[in-house]
Amino acid sequence: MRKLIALFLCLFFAFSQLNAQNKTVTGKVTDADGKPVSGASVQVKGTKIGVSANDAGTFTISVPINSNILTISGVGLVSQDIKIDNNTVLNITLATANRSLDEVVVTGYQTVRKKDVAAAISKISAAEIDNLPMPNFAQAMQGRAAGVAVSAANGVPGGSMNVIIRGVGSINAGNTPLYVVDGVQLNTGTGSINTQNNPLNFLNPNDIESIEILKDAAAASIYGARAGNGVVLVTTKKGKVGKPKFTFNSYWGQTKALQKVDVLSTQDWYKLRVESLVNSGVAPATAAATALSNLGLPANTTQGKIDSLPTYDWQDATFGTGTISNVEMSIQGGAQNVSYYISGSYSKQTAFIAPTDFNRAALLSKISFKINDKVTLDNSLSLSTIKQNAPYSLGNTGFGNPAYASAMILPINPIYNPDGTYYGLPGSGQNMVGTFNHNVLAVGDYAKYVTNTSQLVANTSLTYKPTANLTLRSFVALDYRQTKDHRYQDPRINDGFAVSGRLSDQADFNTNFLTNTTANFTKVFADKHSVNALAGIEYRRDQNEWFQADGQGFPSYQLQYLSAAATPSGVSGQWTASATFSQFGKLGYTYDGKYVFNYSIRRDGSSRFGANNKYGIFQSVQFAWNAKEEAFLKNVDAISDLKLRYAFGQAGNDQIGNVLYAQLYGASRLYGNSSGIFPSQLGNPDLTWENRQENNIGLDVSFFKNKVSLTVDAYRRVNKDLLLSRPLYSVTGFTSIQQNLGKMENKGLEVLLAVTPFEGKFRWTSSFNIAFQKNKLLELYDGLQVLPSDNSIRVGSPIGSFFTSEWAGVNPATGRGMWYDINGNLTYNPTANDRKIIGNIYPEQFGGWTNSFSYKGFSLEAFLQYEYGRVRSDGQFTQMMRMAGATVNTLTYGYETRWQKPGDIVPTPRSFNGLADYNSVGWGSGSRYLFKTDYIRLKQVTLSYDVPASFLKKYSIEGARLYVQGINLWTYTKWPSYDPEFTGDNFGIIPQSKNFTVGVQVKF
Amino acid sequence: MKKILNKIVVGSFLVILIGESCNKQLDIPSRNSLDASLALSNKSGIEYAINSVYSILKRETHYGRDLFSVTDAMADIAFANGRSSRLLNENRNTALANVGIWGGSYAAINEINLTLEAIPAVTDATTADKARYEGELKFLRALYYFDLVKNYGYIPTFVVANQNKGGVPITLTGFNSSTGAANYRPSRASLAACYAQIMEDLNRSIVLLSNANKGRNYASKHAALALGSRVALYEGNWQRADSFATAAITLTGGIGAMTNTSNYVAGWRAASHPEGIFEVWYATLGENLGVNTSLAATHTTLSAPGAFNGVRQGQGDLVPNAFLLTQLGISGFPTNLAQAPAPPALTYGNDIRNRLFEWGVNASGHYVECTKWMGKNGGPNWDNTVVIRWPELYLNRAEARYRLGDEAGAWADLNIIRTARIVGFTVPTTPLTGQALLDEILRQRMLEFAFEGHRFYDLKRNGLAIVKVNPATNLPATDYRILPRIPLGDIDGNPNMEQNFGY
Repeated sequence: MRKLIALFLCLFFAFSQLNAQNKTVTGKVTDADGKPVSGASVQVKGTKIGVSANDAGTFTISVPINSNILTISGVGLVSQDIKIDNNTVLNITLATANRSLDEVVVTGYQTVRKKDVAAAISKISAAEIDNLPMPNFAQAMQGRAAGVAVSAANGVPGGSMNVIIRGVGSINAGNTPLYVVDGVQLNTGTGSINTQNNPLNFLNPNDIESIEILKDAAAASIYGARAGNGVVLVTTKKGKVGKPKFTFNSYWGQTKALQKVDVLSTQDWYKLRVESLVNSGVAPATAAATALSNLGLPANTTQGKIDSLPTYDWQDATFGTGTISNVEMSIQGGAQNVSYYISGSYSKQTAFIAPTDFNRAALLSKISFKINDKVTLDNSLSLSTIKQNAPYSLGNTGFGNPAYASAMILPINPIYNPDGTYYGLPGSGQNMVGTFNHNVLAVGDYAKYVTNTSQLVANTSLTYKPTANLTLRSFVALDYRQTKDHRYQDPRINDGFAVSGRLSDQADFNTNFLTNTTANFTKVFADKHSVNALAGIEYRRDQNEWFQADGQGFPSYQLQYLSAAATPSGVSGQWTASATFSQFGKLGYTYDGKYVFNYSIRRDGSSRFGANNKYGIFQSVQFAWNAKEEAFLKNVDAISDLKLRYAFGQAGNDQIGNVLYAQLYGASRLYGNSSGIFPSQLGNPDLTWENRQENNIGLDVSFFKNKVSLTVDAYRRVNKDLLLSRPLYSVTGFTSIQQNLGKMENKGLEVLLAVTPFEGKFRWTSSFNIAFQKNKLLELYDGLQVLPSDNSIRVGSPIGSFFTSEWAGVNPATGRGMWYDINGNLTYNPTANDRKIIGNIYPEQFGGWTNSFSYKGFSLEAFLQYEYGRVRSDGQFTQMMRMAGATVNTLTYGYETRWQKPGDIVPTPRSFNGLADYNSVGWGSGSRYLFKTDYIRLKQVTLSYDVPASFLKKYSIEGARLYVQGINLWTYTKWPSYDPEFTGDNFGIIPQSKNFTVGVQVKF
Repeated sequence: MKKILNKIVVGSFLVILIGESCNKQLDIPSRNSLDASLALSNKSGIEYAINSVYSILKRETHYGRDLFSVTDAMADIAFANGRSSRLLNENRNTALANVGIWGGSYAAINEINLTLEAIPAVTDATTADKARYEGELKFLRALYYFDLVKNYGYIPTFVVANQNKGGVPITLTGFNSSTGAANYRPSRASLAACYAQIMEDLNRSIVLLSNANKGRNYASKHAALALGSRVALYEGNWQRADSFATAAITLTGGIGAMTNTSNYVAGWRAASHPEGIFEVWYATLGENLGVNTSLAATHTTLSAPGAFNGVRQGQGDLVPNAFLLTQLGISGFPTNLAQAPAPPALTYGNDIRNRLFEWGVNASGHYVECTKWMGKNGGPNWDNTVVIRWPELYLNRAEARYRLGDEAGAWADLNIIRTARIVGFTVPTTPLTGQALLDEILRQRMLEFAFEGHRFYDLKRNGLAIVKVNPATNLPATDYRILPRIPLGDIDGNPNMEQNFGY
């Protein structure tokens, strides 16, 4: 590559030499602090002649004799025009740019100046998410953008993330935002049935330059029918003109469980088991015999023998230590007509519960070639391959699921035999006692659940600039992903033993093709009228295909592929596709930098909708007033920027299945070796988009030379024509039909406050964001106040509510659990009529707070993330509170707080065999196990040291940084089981973990 | 430069052209499902549609498990040991722990109705084919409605009048439009109307189907007669119960035959039970309901008879209780049923049916388990489900004849069963009469069909209380929990529908 560049440079100088009528000017560019500005652009004004300053900030330029002005510019600095006159040496100092004014923002199909933006857009820059040991960027967004709620489904590395921008707008359609990486709209379906695999994993987050989140409908509207849940635009790094720069970066670390839970010893469990049997009416002697038989012991076992029984800690054995390692190398640079950025990385993370891991090799190659002054060819290629070892079962109540079972396996079961082999394997003659009879360590070791994902995201564009004002661009992109699942139930484990091993192989292919052609016109008329117009057409087609084959009966556990299977046990496969065709346009007008007006429109046609409603139009209008530009504020020094914004926009949600408009017969049934076809859905030719309409007002203000800046946005978002599975009376033979019915509202306020209390040698910056959110269902259909199929969906209440009876605690007289009926009276048997809205699965307030301190070469960053007002059902806790009512181990908490005799005022009812007390609902009914997930978490702490340049110079190293980082070091929460950060019902998920990494980054 | 410009212009045009033709590309029909307008237009479409109706019977909620195991858990013969915490609430007769066949049954009924409507227009099927289609579909419709009404309504022979809300909604035309389905407000038909509809369909099947049709895995005249005798027995139409049973017993070229004491056990070890008249067929390994909820997994931990020291195969959640074991003539098990290793030998009486009950594998103790299902089709959890067996014909007729006052006839039928099941049985010289005779008929029904989903209905239709020692239960037949709750989704917003009493 260096040679290539040298060649280009030679050619360049050769051409320069041909121009005889030139003078040579040399100089040095420095910034306000006197540091050299490496890569500063030095251009002869009014020509294409230009060079870049080298690392020392110096440059040499050959200037035509008739030119006299050089334009010097640098990233983040104010451009400056310098007269050459008779000077041959020029030393230029560039002032630091007023950040908020000159910053540019990617807005979809174009980039605009921040001051021309009138809608609600959050930006996350590379520096904020550098070197986080997180496999995908959605995770890195958590807490860093106001109003963007990011929650990890669990602690699986590279697992699925739930990103919700400004609340949920839909009852049945998806709530996933549209992700656009360098113009490529990603397919966000997941292909694995094995494990959590996230379609955003293909990109190494360290290759990201910036993330822009189009939050309101106005900003997102240009993406039309796909923009209903907001848009996340990711821009990757690209090469800058200059000599090749290498960056090597690597970090290593460990990951550990945040906590274990205390469970009973064998003796305590036995005691509690007898108690639960006696409480349920079993005679004491029989109860003791039963409890002993539950432990696999004869009825005549003596108390002395019981006292000496061992207790094994299964959690301790399962919750190990995971590792993190990441190595990456990038090279970037460029000469006059070519620039490149190439980055390769290998990243490996293992979770603290084996064998869960994530391995990714990724390559990103971006090359931009200027064919001539007017035509540029850009090519970007991202290749990645990801291998994930998955636990045998995950996020469920499987007996082989280590995250679920380890705290509930009866503690009398040994883990290993004295010779180090696993205890209790089927066929060994040893039986694990209790409901959880799988040795989860053996299962983790022997079962092979592996997911391989290979992804290609590539795009090529040709940009033609016939004039300085007009840009024509054709863009073609492909997002191709292949996911392969291999699920081998080893014949040595419980679920594979009886059938001599079972295998399921699945392959899933996703092909997402996108092409668009845009024309972008920008011009400033008469110095004051700035116009920016965009027009384009786009076509996208998404196709998914998968097949699966299952077999069983393997002669040996060493044979793990289908050819060795004695019996095929199943095959299946499916195909589905959708396409959209769109036209869009945008007009922006700014008067004198003060008044901004934008209008956008998009017409989308989609294969997903019924013949009567295939096309939809989405528009937005946006206004902004840059008050700082007004004469009366221009000289008010205290206010460095002041802008007011208002926007209204429409966007659509098309996230439903592909052929739901059609009346269909499915063919997935079987009887007597022959297919069965059945009416699988009733059609609806009127089916169409869900329509989001939103008003947003915003304020951007900063004071004291931007030392304090504040952004506030308030919005009201209404989703109409919700894509609803309207329930039918099942007597019709169908359970639901898809219709556009109902209306939902989201209101919210988002605040971002950034302050820089200290600048200079010691620098302290602090950035705090918070979002307040309120969701409400405004109407259903036919005047219904409650959705018949789901009583928690009620007009006037938020979506995601729990609708159940309220737990009233333990009756001190009887030790039985009580609930409130609808009149507030106590009952053992709450009925359907006693249910009410209790809590909601979405947070009411959330955000983050970052503080960065730097002094000389040291910097410290601490990032807190928090959520408030969310309620979840703790499935794991529920199962661990069975209190020996079943043959599973139970929490010490429950044991110590249980009711034992009349008068006990305690939170835990008496233990009871079979779990539901006499004529009483079950132990986990109603709101008993609903808890607040509120937490404040020290999400990230990074301490880094930049080795002084003077020292590195000797070794020709441009920069070196050493850093140590901790993730999830501290959490404040009242959540009762492992961890509050998850989505779903918390059954057997791998919880979040605590990570420590050390790293080094070298630039040369 | 010009050249490049030209290329770009041409290129852009091409893109726009492709774009325009995209309008056609916006029509992407399913490749996994058939367009409804074409699905039932020919012979094979009808045959596949009928398969689907049979396949619903395989579900866990229907004959895959619940209609057998849930109802027997609710009755007085079983104990749910909580090994996997399944069926505990059913065993304690907790409110809402009952069968849930509503949605699946009506889906099947709608398919039947749509297919029946489509048959006349099919041109490539013969008249004989069409008669068979109609006969099979009407048998199935009768079976689905019977299963619905015997659960969700009272059984006509014992109705608690002040709690009776009637039968179930009857739909005889298919729903094939969103509007039609969305506007439909079902209401419950009377019990009499439901039983009349069921008999009407069965009578058509009897006329349309050949005696054995395609064997016991499909509807046949034999199966329709046998089901008819059961329906009539439940309805209290003793005459018809008697005559249908007789017709089924005397039918030539029917399906299956009685086994006797020497081949009874072997009959249960065969994939297809030789006594079966109608059976739900799980033809391929992939159709089994798995390690948790198949009949085998529910009832036994054993992988093979006698393998109580072997590997645990199923959950073995629902086991016979002491009452049933004693009635079967088994002794030697502990009072709490659970036995820590090693289990003592059991003592078996002369009733050959008790040989299907033996010690299971140690999983929180050994229990005596029922081995009627243990992966007989060739793989774990893979068993066919016999819905109607020959002995029922004699027991139905015995009960009907008793009710008709023909005690001699009842006594004769009762002894056919006892002779076939009790080793060395000799008919007592003094016949049983009166209540004792009825009690013995019901007792034989209990022993014969233990864990085959009869006992709960036998108690329900005779107004008998459910009495269990463990879990301690005394549930009178008037208790509201005998009837399940109708799914709330079919009640909410529908003024025409009445919920069952107590819910």
